Amino acid sequence: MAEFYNNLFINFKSNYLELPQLIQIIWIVIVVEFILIITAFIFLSQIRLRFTKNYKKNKILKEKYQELLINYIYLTEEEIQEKKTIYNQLHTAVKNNFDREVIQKLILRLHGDLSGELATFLEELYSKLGLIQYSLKKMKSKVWYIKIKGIREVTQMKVQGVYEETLRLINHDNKLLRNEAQLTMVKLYQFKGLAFLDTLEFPITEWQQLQLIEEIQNIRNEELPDLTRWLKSDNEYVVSFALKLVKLFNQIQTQELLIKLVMHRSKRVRQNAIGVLEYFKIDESKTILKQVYSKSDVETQRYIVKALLELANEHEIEFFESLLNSEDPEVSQMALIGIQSLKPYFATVKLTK
Amino acid sequence: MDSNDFVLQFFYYFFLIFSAIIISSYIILGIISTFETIFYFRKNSFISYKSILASPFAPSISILAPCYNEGLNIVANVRSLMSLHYVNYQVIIINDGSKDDSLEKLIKQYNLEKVDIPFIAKIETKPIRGVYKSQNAVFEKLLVIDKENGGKADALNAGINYSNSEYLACIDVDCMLTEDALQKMVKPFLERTDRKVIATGGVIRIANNCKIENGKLMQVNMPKKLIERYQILEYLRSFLLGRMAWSRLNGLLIISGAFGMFDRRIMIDAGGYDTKTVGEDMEIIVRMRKYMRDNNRKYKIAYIPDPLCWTEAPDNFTILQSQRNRWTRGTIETLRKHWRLFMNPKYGYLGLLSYPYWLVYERLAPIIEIIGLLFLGYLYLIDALNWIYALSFIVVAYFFSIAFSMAAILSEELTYRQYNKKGDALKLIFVALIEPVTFHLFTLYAAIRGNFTFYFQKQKSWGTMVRKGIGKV
Repeated sequence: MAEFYNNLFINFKSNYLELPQLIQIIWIVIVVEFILIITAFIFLSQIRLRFTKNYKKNKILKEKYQELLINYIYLTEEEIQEKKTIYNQLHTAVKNNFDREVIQKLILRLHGDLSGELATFLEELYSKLGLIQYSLKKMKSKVWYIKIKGIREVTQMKVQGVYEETLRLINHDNKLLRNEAQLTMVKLYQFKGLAFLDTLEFPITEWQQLQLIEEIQNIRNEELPDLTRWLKSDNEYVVSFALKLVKLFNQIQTQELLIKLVMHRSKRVRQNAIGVLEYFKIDESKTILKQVYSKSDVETQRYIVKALLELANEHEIEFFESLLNSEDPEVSQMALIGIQSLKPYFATVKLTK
Repeated sequence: MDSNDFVLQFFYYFFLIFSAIIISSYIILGIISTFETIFYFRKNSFISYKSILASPFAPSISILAPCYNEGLNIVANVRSLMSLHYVNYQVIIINDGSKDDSLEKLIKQYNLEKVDIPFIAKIETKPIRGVYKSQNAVFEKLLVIDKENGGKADALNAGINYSNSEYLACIDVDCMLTEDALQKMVKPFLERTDRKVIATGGVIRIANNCKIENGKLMQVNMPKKLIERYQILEYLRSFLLGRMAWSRLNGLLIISGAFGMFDRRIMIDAGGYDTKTVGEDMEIIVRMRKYMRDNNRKYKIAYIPDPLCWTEAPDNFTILQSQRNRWTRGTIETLRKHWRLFMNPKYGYLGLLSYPYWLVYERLAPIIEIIGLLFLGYLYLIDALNWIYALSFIVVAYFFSIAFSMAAILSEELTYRQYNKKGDALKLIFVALIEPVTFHLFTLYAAIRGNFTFYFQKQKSWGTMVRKGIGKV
């Protein structure tokens, strides 16, 4: 039998070597492709098997530990013995990596659903089980997504004393780490955490601003800091963010500064400032808006006309009329809307023409 | 060497180099896609969309959905569009001169009344017959435009004219969007500060045989028909391996007409949709990119791999052939219209990479492949066919096709796992094994028919798509 295979191999080898070089290369490629297909098939089967196995295991453990955790947090002070038993079970379980992941995720999820005493109780349990150490270890990781995971866990469990560590990440080169650090500052230190805006050297994306505002809206019983220092920041993104805060917290007393920002060097700031003036309906801004209109780019002109639509009275009809033949159809359309709202008959006539 | 030998040698090396480049480019695109998908997954595992759900600063979005003879499903489709999870959006349905009762159904169901909205056309369209808004505050988000028939592009342009939102989500009205679709699609626009994101494309998934209740996707099922499964595999390859990589290279030339989001102002400044092409979805992207380059503005076309849009795929070869015929004509029209981009260094990646790639490997590939097959036939007839050469080429191409499909299936399995029932993966693998010698030949035929229609038929139609309605399992 061995001789048969040996001969077969020798024949195959001699036939192969007789082929032109190009065909030899192509057949090597074919063999590589074939190996890749088989590997992909085996890998796919393994993934499916592992997924099914882990899914089942995860489900069983989740049910088991969820029950234990719920029992633990709802047991009264008198039921100390039962509490101790459950605690010991959990303490033993966290030594196993798979079980620890499940318990950690469950505590974090339950914590997200609870508030007040029960949430504090879970924070204490997280600490007692030593899970904080694992989170801090993740936070120190050099891999960005593990680091973010650690930051998230530490933040949710309200671990104080990470201020310095987080502040160091505020100007990190990795945008995602930077963003996470900013959110952590606000989550853990509330308005005090906004101090990062003083030293921020990078832009804040619109998305990140929305995330920060979501966190800021959750702040209770704290006095809003003075926003003017950020409205005067050298970082145009900080100014834009501060403008959002001005709007969110109705800081109309900053109007003088808002009007000045209409002439800011940054287009983004100018446009945002116009939007806030429109929101507050600051009548005093009409003159400057009309003044800067002709010097502005088309995009900013649209912001100006949109703001004037909110602020306009009969004195603006003439201004709107001058815009009816604007090269930008959006400006013309808004001007028409403005005239129609101030002088309906006139607009109908124009429209018909 | 006589002239006959020279011709043979030329063809021989031409096909060899062409195949080598196409295989290498697929491998490179596959690798880039893999890295990009991994990064996208890791990045988005931390993202909370809660912040944009009810934010007073959430940017405004208009969903533009053209409708032509969609009376069968229009009411349910609109209901589905109005129940998306986003705070600041409106739904603009553009009735493009439907001959059925689409408009009447909308008027009745949503208590619509004709309104007068001051309006200056930013893009020229066919005449507007009327604009309708609901008298019921519950449907405040809905605006219906009734216009004379002008085709999909014209209807979308009418919608653009009436929109005041920052972003436009242009969709096919029969598509089903997942509830979080707008939050996810708008995110790339808000994430960049170094350049302007002008459009975002999403993955289109096939909804045939899926369970849908009240406009919501309840269960993903593998379609029963082979023709539908072929398309699933094809979409996985195209969206998960192809477009993801092109997005990374900022070289995307198309965003599917079924679902894409655009910066409204850039769209208007670029001139809106071209009504003279059947490939308006590709043409608008090329034009917007060209517009940005011409104005020296840094830009990006983003792409997200999440399965956000589900659509009904053709389930018979007649309709599929008509669809592919149209896609081919759309590609030809767009590339012809923008031929000045070809190898033009002024347009950077667009002119030097995306356009040439699209021209050679999308536009000309079917023709080259047919010539290759004819060449083999010719060699056989003149008894000059070297069987070992021919066989080697065919086997390498066949195995490569399977390997690429396997990579797409694996990518899906490691990321979204939409087809997670027992046996689903095996069904897809089976399709991967037979597709190169069955479905691929059909798509080749449809592409050649598309070329024929473009060059030799005067009457060029959009093609018909008979809807059964998604979710009718």
